[in-house]
Amino acid sequence: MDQVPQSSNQSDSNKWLVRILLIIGIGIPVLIELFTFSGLVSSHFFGEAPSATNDRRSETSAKENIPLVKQGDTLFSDTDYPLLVDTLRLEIYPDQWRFIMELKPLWKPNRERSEGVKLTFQNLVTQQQSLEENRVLVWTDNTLDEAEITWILPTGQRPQNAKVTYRSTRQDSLTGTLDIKRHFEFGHVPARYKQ
Amino acid sequence: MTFIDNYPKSAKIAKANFLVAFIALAIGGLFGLIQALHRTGWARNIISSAEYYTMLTGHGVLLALVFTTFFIAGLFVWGVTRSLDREPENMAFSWSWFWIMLIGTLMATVAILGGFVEGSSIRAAVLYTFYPPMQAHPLFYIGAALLIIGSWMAGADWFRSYLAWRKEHPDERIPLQTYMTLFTMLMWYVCTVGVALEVVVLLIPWSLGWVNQIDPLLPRTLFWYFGHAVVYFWLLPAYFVWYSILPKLSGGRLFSDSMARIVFIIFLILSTPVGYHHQYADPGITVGFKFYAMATTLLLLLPSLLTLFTVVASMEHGAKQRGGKGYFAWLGKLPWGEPAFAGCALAGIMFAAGGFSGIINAAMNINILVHNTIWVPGHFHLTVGTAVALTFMAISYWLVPQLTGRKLKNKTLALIQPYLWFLGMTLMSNAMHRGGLAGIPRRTAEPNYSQFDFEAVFGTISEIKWQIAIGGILLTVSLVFFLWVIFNSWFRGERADKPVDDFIPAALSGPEHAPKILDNIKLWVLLAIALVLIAYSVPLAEMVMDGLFSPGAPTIPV
Amino acid sequence: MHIHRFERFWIGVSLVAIAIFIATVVIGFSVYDLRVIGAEKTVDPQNLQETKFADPGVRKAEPGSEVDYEVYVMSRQFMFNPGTAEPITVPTDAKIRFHITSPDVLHGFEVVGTNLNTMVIPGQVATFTTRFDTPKTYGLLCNEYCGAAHHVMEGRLKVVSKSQFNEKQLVQ
Repeated sequence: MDQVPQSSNQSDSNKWLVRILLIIGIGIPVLIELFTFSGLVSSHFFGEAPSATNDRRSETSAKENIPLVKQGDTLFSDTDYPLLVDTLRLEIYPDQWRFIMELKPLWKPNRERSEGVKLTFQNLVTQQQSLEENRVLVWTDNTLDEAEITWILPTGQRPQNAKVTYRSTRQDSLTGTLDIKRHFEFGHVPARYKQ
Repeated sequence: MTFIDNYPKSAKIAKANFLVAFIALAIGGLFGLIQALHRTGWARNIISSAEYYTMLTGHGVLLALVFTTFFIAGLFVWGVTRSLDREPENMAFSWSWFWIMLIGTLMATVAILGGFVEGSSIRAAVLYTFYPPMQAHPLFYIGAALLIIGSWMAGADWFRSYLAWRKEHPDERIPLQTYMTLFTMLMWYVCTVGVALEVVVLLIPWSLGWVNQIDPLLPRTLFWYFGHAVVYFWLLPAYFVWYSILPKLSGGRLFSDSMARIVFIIFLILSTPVGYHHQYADPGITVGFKFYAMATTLLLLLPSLLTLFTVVASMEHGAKQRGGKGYFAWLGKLPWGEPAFAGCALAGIMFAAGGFSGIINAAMNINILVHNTIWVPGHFHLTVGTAVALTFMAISYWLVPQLTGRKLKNKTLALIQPYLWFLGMTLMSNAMHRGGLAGIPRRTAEPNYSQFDFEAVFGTISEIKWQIAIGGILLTVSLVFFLWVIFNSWFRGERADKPVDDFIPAALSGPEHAPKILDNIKLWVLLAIALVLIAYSVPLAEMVMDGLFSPGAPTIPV
Repeated sequence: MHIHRFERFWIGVSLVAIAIFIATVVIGFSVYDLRVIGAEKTVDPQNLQETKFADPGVRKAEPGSEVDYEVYVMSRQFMFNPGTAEPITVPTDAKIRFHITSPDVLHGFEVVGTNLNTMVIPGQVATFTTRFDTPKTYGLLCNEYCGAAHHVMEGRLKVVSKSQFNEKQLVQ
């Protein structure tokens, strides 16, 4: 025979609780879904028309024109002693990630005018921490030598930005030393797996 | 008198399985929260982005494989024992499968958690799909194999009970709960052949270094031979609850016993030959076989739609017994204030939503738009993450008292819990589906790219992230409520002779109306095997013919 | 067996719905040419230096080919070559066939905001053909977990108008 329904004399407070739960627990989800549905329908009918067969979804804009430091860039091109970013890469080892940057002077500076350049990285900021250690690169003898900096990062950390001071010493009558403080933003640094 | 008094030995082993399941649920759930906060950028400093993948592996393995398998084992021990009215034939055997599953689980868990120890060589950040050539520590694969072997033995245990019962009852119909258990396990045997071959023949020798290269496509295909049927292995126990317990909880009786049997037969024969629908975007599998898998997948909508009918009809019957009237007004007469009922009903509603996004996934060429985007986890958090998990949690409020002989404590918290889960999951899953439409990938520690931005179809990406993070927090609060209620009831609940009303009435249309052929186990198993052979023999033969480990890719340890 | 008449009606509705879903896919396939990737050919992932993947990039198709350009992309931990260091550049209004493979682990190749989305599996070559109507720069990302720096694997696909496309940049 049919079961007798379970206790139907719920207390009043329980009845109110159930009402509130039904309103919040089911009402809000229904609103969210209605909002989503109307959003999808209106973007389909009133949004941008799809352009190609293979391009049916919402469009994605590529980020451009953001001044990020990339491989192949020239840094301090506004000075006598510009530097070329020869390599910028992340090497992924099982226990550490290494961020490697290789710089070299773009051309031989005029010895009369410049005595050399000293580039100081005051820090390197990753997603979770800031490595506060000074790393210095110096070019004095007018070579085109490449100089490399390697930061050892904990696994999972990627470089975000760095504070840099560029000091070039000029010999001519115009000035003594030129100090420039810059903030480098690193965009996407290509990563390679190393074993 | 309740279950623990009638069947003390079964109660003990069911409780042991539930205990492991709830511990896995607690750890896996915590991992889920940290992932939601990390991915959305709300808290990127709890773990590093490299550790994210270790955590993701733990989340997937502990919830999708460990929580489900142990809970299902406990549920089936309960169902087989009470529906056959007999305890397991040999308790030593029953405890041996439990321990094998547990040892396997511990091995795999150690391998995964090793990834959090700096410098550890024991790592397994291969996610729960463990695609080679990314290689985990051998412990991980051996542990996974033991978990599966243990589950096979559990199934054998239930078959043994059935055969012993059959000897004493030669002419009776198989009781429905045992029927559903046996058919779920038959499907499990058919599908786990794939993953067992993958792990034992290919991955264990390779992870031990006996071979030094691996053909990535073959193990991947074997994994997906298993990988979709496994979702039915999670779902069918939820159906078991919806068919055999939910009608009672709503105050009525099951509408049709024979329809329940037909549904389980369809799942047995169609669950495995659909695996390619996880490989629609794979090179190396011909379009024809993908098409066959798609048609089979969409046919699988039928048993779920039948279930929808039967379960809703049973609930309507229940509501009308409670005085409900009209076409829809009866809904108000359902026991929405009972946590076990409310949880199962909300899980069922959410399963309907999951079904809709599943149809998109199944539709081969539409699937390509959302393949491997966050849409996909959005989908399966509705199905396994709610339809299955919320049903399991809700029915625990009704089962744990029977297994412990103690009344449920903190009933208000228990009542709030399923509603909170429903709300949190709506927020999170809705946002994940929308993120998927914008192309945001799944399984990614930081879905922020420097060379481009995502654009939402409507609304904004940051609003989508907010929804995911808030949804994840609400789900965690709901999970804490659940664990607290269960812990309190289990250890501090008031002892009672009848802690819940555990009587399950007969179906309105009982087994006497069901054709005998439905109980012909051999016939349906043979049909299932035939359909699997059609789907898989040719492609697998092609992959094996050029060498088991070729074209071979070099091993990449994680 | 007793089946309630409402239930019979429901079964009928369900079967019709399933037929409509399958028909939708078939129509997409045949009328709109929305296809999925199939089995093309296998390669030895440890000997790619003997294939065109050794020198990846955009190439002019062989004369008489059904496509205008062939693009070979090597996906590896954790970059697309080309794609990551420099964008893959292709012209509008041309039939372009992509060939993608990997020498190490599984990757994904997703052109964000389009249905160009495929798995990249060592030993298999993913091949598909497409065309672009308007110039635009798309994001490119790996959507299959490929290791600890998976989330770093990204790039760009640049579609330039046919008149601005510089054939001198092609791989010879």
